[in-house]
Order: sequence, then C-alpha cells, then structure tokens
Amino acid sequence: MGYRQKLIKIFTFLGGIYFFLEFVLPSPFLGLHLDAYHDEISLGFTAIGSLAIGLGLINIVLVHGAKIAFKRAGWINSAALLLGLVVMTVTTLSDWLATEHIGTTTRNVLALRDFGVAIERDQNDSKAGVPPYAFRRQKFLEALRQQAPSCESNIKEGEPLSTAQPCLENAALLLRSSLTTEYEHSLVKKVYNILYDGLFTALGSAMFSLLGFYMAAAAYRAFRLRSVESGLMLGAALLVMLGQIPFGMYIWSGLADVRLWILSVPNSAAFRAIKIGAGVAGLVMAFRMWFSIESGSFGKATRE
Amino acid sequence: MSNIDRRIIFLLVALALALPLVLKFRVPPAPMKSAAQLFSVVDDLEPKEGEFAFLALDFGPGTQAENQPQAEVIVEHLMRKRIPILFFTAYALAESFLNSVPESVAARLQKESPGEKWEYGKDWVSLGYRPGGALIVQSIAKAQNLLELFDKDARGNYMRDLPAMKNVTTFKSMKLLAEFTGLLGMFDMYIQFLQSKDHRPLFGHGCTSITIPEGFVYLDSGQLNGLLEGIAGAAWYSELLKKKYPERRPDNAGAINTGLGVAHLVIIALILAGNIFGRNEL
Repeated sequence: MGYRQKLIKIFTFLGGIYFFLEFVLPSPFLGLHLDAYHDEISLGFTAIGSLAIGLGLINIVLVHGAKIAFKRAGWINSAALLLGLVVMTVTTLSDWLATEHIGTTTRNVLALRDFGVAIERDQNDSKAGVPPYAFRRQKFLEALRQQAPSCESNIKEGEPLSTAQPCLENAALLLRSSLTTEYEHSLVKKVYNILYDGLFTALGSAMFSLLGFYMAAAAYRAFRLRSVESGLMLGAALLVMLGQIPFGMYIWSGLADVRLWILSVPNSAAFRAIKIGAGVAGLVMAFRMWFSIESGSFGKATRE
Repeated sequence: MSNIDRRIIFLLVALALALPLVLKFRVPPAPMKSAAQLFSVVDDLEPKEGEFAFLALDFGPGTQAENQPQAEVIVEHLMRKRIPILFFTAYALAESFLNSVPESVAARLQKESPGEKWEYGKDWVSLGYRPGGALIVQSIAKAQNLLELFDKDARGNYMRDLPAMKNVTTFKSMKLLAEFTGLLGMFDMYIQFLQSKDHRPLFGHGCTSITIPEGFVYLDSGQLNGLLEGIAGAAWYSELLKKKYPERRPDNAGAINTGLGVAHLVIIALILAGNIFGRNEL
C-alpha cells in the first residue's frame, strides 16, 4: 500500500470518528468539549464539497472545449452547452450583485441607526477614548442628511440621537422596498426570469412530466393479472388510486377510509421493514467506507 | 383494445390532464385526514414575537406541480394568521421558489384584502439555498443564537435587522417546521436532525404521490403532525381554507387535482381494458 493510500485511509478514519463521537457522546465528556468547533469544522467540509463545483466546471470546459476546438462530432451541442453555461453564470452573478447592492445600501442606513444608539450610550457611560460627543453628533447628522434626510427633522436640538431610531428603521424598510421594486423591473432581473423561470424551470417540469406518459403506457402493457399476488397488488392499487381522486367519492364514500387503512397498516408495516433493512445495509456500507475496506475505494477493485 | 398504439395512450393522458385545466373544470377533492390534521395544527398556532414557522422548500422544477401548490396553501394559511415565515432550502434548484411562492401568495392576499399588506422582512424572510445538507440542519438544532448562525438573509440583510426575526433566539423559537420535497432522503434529514433533547417543532410534510407510503410511516409514529399527500392533500387543504375564509379566491390546487383525477381514471380504464381484452395473450 502506497503512502497516498495510507494518508487517505487515515483522514477518512479521522473524519468519520470525529462526527461519530461528536454525535454520540454528550458534551462535555471527560472534560472534553468535542463540539466546541463543530460549526467551523462543518463549514470546512461544506467548503471542500463546494470544490466539486469548480472541478465540475473545469471538467465540462475541458471536455466540451476540446470537442469544439477539434470540431469533433457533436461540437455544436458542446458549443450550445458552454454558451448556456456562460450566459447563466453571468446572469446569476449579475442578479446576485444587484441583490447584494440592495442589502448593502439598506445596511448602511441601519448602521447609522446603530451608530446613533452607540453615541448616546457612550455619552451616558462617559466612555473614554472616543471623540467628543459634539463632534460625533455633528458627523452623525451629516451622515443622516446624506442617507436619510427625511429623518433629520426627528432630532431636535438637545434631543438624543436615538430618537431617530424608529425613523431610520422605517427609512431602511422603505429603501429596501423601493430598491427591490426598482430591481424587479431591471433588465438583469427580466433576463434572469426568462432564463430561469421561463426556460429552465419550464423545461425541467416538461422533462419530468414525460415520465407520466411512459408510466401510463407501461401500466397498460405490463399491469396484467397473472397470479394471486399480482391480483392483490392490482386490487390495492385500484383502491388507493380511487380513494385519492375526487371521483372516487361518487363511486363509494368509504373509499377514502379504505385507502387510509391500506396506507396506515399493511403499507406502513412493509415500509418500516424496508427502511430498517435499508438502514442496516446503509450502516454496513458506511462502516466499510469509514474503514476504507469498500472495494474500489482507491479506484481499483481491491480485496483487503 | 388489447394492443392500443402507445401514441393513442399518450394522447388520452394528455387530454385527460389538459382539458380540466383549460376548461377550469373543478370537482370537490376527496377528504384527506392527514391534510386536515395539518390544517388544525397550523390553525392552532398564534402569532407571537420571537416565534416563527420554518418552511423548507426542497423541490425543483420536476416536482413543482405537486409541491408548489402544497407550499402555497401552507404559506397562505400562515400569512393569514400573520405568523412570520423563514424560508430555507437545502436543494439548489429550489431557490427561485423561495421568492416566487411567498410573493405570489402575498399578491393574491393583497388583491383579496386591499387594505392589508404582506411584506418581505415583516411577514417572511428567505435564507436562500444553504449548502451542507445534514450538517446545516444539525447546526440549526444546536444553535445558541439562530440570528448569529444565519447572520444574513438571501438578500444580504442582517437577520437581526428584520422585523420578522425580532427576539428570535434559539431553536426553540421555531414553532412549526414544514418541509416540501419529492426527493428521496431529503425529508429523513429533517426528521433525524431537526430536533433537540428539549424541543421538537410541530412537523408538517408535503410529499409527492410516489413518496406517500414513506410519509405515512412517520405520520403513524407521530413524528409527523400532518401530511399533504401529493396534490390531493393540497386540494383538500385548499378546501378547508375556503371553508374558514369564505372570501378566499380559488387557487390552482383544485383544478390540478381534478385533472390528475381524470388521468387516473383513464389509466385505470386502460389497465382494466388491457386485462379484459388481453387475457387471450396470456
């Protein structure tokens, strides 16, 4: 076994044992706080998982870029794919930047609110090491004139700056609302809506809905009464379907209750058995992967 | 009749699904006890500062036809009761629904009640897509301060600045969890990890028709407080909303459910025809 395989096995084991112990053991355990850095570790794993997106992008560009560069069979399809990738990436990034801009602009107004509260608090606490109150007040009013001029009249001479707090919160809400409305009518948003909601979502639904047609044809051809078991299955399927659709009530009002019984009793019993079996199988598979004894762990089928 | 051309079957199914939608033909849905259960759970909630409902929309365009109406009826019910909603998804393709669903419901409610407003930040907040799957769900249950854990919403606003999240503290602030998905394994994650030793929010689930058997296992064990069984569950929930709020305008759930019902009858007829007229082939 090479050093690379050893390293992979060690890190796989350490990663698995950390999450296992963190989940199972109480905190603290023998003076140890195993979950002290759990959020940071989880974030790290998420970041590593996100690397897969970059890997996928590089792979797509390499494979399809080569097809286009060497004009191999189907290069037009590859060109369409890369064009779609670029267009959607640019559109989504623009959408994200515009949304961030709304958030940043609104945050500036709310930061001013917090600043006003902080100035008054420092003045009341006679905090040392801060600029004089009059200077800070003047700067606050200058910023207020720029960011939220409608709130300036709320602060009379001698009144604390925190009196502007409700006005600034309201101003932030109105600003967010108006910037969002402006953005909803912008070109970037319209293009994003056309591409995502108009094309991607609609095409995704259409692709999935093809299954319905194939299932109907398959049910007609394959769902035949050949034995007692198939008869039971057919009968149960008919009762469940009729109990779920609105027209079943016109046939017999008790169909809904029959359906409920079939789902609550025999179905739940069978499904629990399946889930327990699948759970045990999943546990065994997890252990095999944790200890790196699963064949094909390192790219080749190996027997340990 | 024993060997109908596949194209005729496709045409029959297409007509069965499309005609009720086009002609706006609507039949009262079959009663669904599990949907009624979820309705009374949501109806018993009262708005309280520092508490919110957590809605996980984990569906994509593929299962949008069933999951979106489910999400819309729950969102409508919560919005009518003025319970703040926090939207979230662990599935990247669902992100656009986190905006379109509450916006369309709010627009419908505002048309119905012109004097009232439902606004982002006050009535709902979107966290957007958060990567990490089970890791992020676990961290929600363990968080000492949810507003610090999430920090900013999907639009870049600090969570602490949003009126809907005022006084929200720990996981105990989450009173209701409603999850909508057709994906395998997604719903199990919430059942497993979105609970702590001293708090488990009320849990409602909206599933596709295919995953109803799986959902029933948890409904039976009490881990789910209610279940919307495909579009039929959404349609019955919509009926219950109509009974409680008579001025309510009809939504799509009833029409989609009727179309699906007609398609089911066509499939049943085809199966019976195949068995009756195809017996000689056996």
